[in-house]
Amino acid sequence: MPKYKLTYLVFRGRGEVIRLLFAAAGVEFEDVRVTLKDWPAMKETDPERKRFLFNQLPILEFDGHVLAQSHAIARYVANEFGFAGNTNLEKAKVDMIVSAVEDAYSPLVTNVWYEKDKARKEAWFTEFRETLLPKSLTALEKLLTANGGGDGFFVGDSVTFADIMFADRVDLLVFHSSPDVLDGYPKLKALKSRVEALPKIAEWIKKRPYAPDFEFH
Amino acid sequence: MSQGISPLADALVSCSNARRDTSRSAMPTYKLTYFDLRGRAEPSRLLFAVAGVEYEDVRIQREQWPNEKASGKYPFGQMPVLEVDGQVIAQSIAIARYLANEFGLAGKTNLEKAKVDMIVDAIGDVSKGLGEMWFANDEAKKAEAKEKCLTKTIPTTFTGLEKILMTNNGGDGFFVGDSLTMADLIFLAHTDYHVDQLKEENTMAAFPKLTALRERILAQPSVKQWVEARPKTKI
Repeated sequence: MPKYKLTYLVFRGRGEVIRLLFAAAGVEFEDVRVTLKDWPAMKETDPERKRFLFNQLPILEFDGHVLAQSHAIARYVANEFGFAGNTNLEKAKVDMIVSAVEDAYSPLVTNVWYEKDKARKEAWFTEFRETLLPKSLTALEKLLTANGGGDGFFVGDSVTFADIMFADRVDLLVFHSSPDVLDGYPKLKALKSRVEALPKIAEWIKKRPYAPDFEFH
Repeated sequence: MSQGISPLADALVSCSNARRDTSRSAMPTYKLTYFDLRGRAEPSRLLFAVAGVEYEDVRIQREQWPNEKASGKYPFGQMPVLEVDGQVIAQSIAIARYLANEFGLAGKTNLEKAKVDMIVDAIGDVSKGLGEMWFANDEAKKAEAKEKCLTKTIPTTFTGLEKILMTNNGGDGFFVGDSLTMADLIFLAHTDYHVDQLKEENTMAAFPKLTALRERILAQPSVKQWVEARPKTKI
């Protein structure tokens, strides 16, 4: 088994789904966390970009290889340890759902963290709560339900990258809309609980460092 | 097919024909639906072209789209979608990766596939940046987005891509492994748009290996044939 070293920022963000996948697989990894304050200096230790290939985090290092891009890393870990779907078609469905969750949550990053104009931010948030989020959750609820009634997982018979991505990122969607927003999407709500109750995932959630800065404004 | 040589020979010939017929009918039917644009469908169209696989290339005109969308057949109310043997897959890169995996254009090992995915996602960051520029709804935002592309997103990402390319056979082949993959085709689809949008700025000039890669991909016979035959659209 290679020694895996994941480097990301201190909070959950784009690294957490990878940490959750390692946890679900029961695979040890070095969980390196960098503060926003320390990140610029760390970048400068690698002027040749041998590690920080795109000047970004996360990166995964193992056996002399370096991977960048959070979803590429997550999918690699998922494929290595059986959380990616069992056939090409299942993998495509997993990827589709991962992309959809990304589409739902990533505008929050742009509009919470990067948007400085208060009026633009407010206008966007109204659109998010009234239109964008309901649209995403409705589509995901429908896809989940289409898989044998929706009381299992998004794809196939077992937990995949898609379920873990949803369960992790949905916290941010809830935080920026309302605590009971999932009440309107009972299958998704139950899925989140189901994922978090899986023994190895529950164990990770219990022991992971608490670091909500940046994520939750 | 009967040669009349012997009943056994005839039987063998028609048996092997039957096997070929079976394998032909076992081949999935593919239907790709998108706007009449290259856009987010072009990676998949390029994959079909390189693999030499038939598919129905459905193009929806802008005016038809509201009705199409209302039909409920699009999982996220968006295109492209791929229909394969009754299953619907949405999300353009999920579709492309599915086809790439089916046709052996995704990379050969999990590690190669991860490198392909990494390159594709990095290119996606630049596409996103260019999209912010293209779709900005006021001049100030447009200028801000363009500045970010030119000073940050493109230099950072393309430097990374050029370096990754150079670690593979000195950069004179393809992005990953010894042959064309989805990473190269998505790079091509992206640069078609990128080079057109930033003609004056000539951003590719700083990246000789990437520039040569683009030419190399375009010169592949199956790619060349498709690029010549495909409908000509602005984006």
